Amino acid sequence: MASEQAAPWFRWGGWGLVALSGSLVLILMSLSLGVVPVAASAIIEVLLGEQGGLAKVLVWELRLPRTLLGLLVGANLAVAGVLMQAVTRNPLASPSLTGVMAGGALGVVLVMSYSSWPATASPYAALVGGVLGAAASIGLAWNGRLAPVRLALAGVAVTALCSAVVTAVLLNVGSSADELFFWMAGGLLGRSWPQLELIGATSLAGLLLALVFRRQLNLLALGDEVVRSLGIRVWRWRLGLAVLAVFLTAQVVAVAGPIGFVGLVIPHLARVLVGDDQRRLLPVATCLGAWLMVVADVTARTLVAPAELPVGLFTATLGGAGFIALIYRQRL
Amino acid sequence: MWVTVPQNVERVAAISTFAADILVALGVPPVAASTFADQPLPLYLGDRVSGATSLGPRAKTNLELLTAVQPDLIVAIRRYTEPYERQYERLAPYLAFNVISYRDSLRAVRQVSRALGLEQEGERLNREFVAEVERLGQAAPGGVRAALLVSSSETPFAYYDNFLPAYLLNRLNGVNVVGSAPREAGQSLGYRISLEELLVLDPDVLFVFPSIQQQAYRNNPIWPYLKAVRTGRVYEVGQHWKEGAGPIARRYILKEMAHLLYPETFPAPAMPELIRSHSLETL
Amino acid sequence: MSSPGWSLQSSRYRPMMALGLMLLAMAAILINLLAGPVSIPFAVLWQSLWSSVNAAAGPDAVAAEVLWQLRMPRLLLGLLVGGQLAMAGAILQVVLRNPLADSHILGISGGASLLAVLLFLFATDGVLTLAVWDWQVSVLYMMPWAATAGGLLAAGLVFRLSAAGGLTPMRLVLCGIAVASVLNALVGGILAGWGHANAETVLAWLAGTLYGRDWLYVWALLPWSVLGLLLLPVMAKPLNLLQLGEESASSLGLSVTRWRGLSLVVASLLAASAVGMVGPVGFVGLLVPPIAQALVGSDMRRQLPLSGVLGALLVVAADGVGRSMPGVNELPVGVVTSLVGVPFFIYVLRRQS
Repeated sequence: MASEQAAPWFRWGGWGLVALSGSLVLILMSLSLGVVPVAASAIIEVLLGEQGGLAKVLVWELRLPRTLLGLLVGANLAVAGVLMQAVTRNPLASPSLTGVMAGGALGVVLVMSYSSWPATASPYAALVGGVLGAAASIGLAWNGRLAPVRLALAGVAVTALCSAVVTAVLLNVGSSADELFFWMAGGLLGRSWPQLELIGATSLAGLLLALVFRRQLNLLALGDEVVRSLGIRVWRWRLGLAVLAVFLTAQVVAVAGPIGFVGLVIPHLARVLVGDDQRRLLPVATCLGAWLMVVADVTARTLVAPAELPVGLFTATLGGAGFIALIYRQRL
Repeated sequence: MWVTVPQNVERVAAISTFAADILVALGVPPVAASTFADQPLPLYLGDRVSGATSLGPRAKTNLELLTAVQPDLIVAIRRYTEPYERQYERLAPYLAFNVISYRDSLRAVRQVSRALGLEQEGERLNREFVAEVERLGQAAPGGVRAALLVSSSETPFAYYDNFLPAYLLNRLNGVNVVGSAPREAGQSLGYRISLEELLVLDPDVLFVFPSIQQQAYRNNPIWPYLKAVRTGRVYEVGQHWKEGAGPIARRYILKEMAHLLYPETFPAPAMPELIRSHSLETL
Repeated sequence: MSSPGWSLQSSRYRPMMALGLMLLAMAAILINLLAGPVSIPFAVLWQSLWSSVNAAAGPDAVAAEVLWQLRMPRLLLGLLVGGQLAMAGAILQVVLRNPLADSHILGISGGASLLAVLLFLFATDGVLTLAVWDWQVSVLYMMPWAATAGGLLAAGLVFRLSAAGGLTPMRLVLCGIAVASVLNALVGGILAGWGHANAETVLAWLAGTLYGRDWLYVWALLPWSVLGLLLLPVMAKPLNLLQLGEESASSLGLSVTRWRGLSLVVASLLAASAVGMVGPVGFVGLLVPPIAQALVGSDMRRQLPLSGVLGALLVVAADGVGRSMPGVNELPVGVVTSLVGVPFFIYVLRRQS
């Protein structure tokens, strides 16, 4: 399948048009829905700087950054999922099964409980913790390759360890457990420009990097022997792309907490639509991930308004169903 | 909940702050009490509790230490002790209360005083508080809208009207912008409010509950747009607001809230500096 | 399963090992009974074992109360829970052909947690009460059984999902992880949305703890333990055959799928009932069987009972450590076993490659 000819430019253009218009519709929906609905015309006026007042504050300070963050978070998770699945040649690999999420949670809890740093330090703690957690589980599972079951079990173990430490810390400092539960469920509630500034540039860079390496991803899917016979150093690519996946996921954990299952299910959905070729798979998964996240976020904040629900609840339900369907489809 | 209480009760254990507060107010200081925020005992109650045995957090009372103090009576918060109910009942008569609302507070004081044979003292404490709420309410000019926020996360949790301090806010002719719980029954205290909604409701005063870490929602770009922030009327309140059902705590809350809502009408009350509110957003 | 290089399996070590184990067990039990915020003189323990202490007054009465109402049920429950979890782990590691398998993998912890959380959220404050004749009880009394049922339902779901593939180890593990992570995510979501008022209580349960457990829990768990003990002799031989691999086992006349299914059911019952009492205590089922294997070899007739004994010891020792943390705030047993378990887990995982 890797030898398939690249699609002609007008087909790419067609896909691009679909992606762009779909994204625009979703962005407009996300900007207009909320406690105070803002009409589409008002949104355009706000974005052109022609209207002030409440609508401007709502759209500009809250909904726009939150929507952009949602797109970015979804894209990051989906691409990280594609990368993990290609690197491990394991259809069930996903960023949330590798200890990134739990490691990030541990980082946040440690900083929240034992340091006097302000809340703005939490994302960095999540980033460091997430990278360490993933490194631990990948390091544990690595024996020249990443076997599916081995990686999953290592991820489970790292997650169990991190949760044990988190619980011990919380019980020790007597801090409010409901804050942790709230954070652990993930979501974009209350997120805005500060979070977007934190991960915006690096996430875009990471996503672009993944797109640049889509050919190498295709090669990795061929199997170690074939790739090696082509004169490519497999493990370098494998490790490098795994690091990229962890990097993308850790950024999500940093700003939105652990959001599971997007990275697992979206790549498969994309595969159903466009097949296994990473050159098409990667952009389509990016787009679908971004869309899913925005839709989930809008649902979370409008379903029981004025209260907001944790996004993780939706992604877990959707993802769980997808996961099980996947196990059936793959006949593992 | 029918509990037979022995005649002369002397050794009472308090699981949760409101219980220690009631006992001190009734003049029967607890022999053991649970922790208060990061303090081993609710020290705002002064010398009368400082000699008590600390039993650890209310949800995980050290049952061995509790056995060792040999209580005649245990007054506890129901929500956190109910799963271990049998252990408490075995040690001593066990009175457990839910303490969320104003009525919960009055009932807890009444029943504890009855159990201690100090019914008249309890009735007096309640009568005085009810009268004080009435008196301050009549003197309060009104027209102030406020919200009570707790959490250190990006999204604050806002309390409904049924929560004691929110009720007092309403009685002081203020308005809790969050309003009442959708259903009366149950233990719904409030909900995670989006900053978007907070901006739409735009309260004049914000009462912010303390947390270990600086509240992350204060970094949201919306925060500076809020009227309370612009006018410097954001107050970080004392830890006792979280569970203020005790006669001592509820009076501090009432008087301080009256002062913070209407500084011209009500002077700052005398109270322990340990739990006094302070302004968060100075102009 | 390969036997490790540092094996002590030779039979001449066995009497020494048994003696050492007995001494360890005695020490752990005594420390657990005697040490704590209220110190209990050995004499009180000795006396109260033989005679009623109701007549005693003063400090001895307190000591006896602490001993019999707090530490004894806690100790016994710890022993039973540890034994069951370790035996379930030993069975699962054979059936799933993976030394990293544990009852977590079958979704048991997730299912038990989900039901426990629902019960905590909707049954506290007397919102739900049961009326048995004129006796009103809080639904919280049902916690041990409800959580057990939750664990069993989750395990049933995992079986159902992996049955299509003939209950192969790979499929079971993947389905189990899938179901477990969905259940855990649901627990998290529910707590985040509606857990504000009960977070502290729920957190303690989710950590896996023996705190506050009274005799009711011991009586509730005992039938399961007895059932496990009765099934041990029956299970050992088929498990030995399963260890040989699918083909050898069936060529020796074992109905592989049937025994695999049966073993999984037994392991689930043991693990789910234990988790139902104390919450998800991690790593016991993972940690103990390889140690037992190193000590007595992979013959399940010896490994299975020894796993039970070692698991019981591990949980009791971990609870002792958790209770003796500085200050009045104890560390839940599940946290201690996880912290102890991870270095070992890493060792097993590395050795496996």
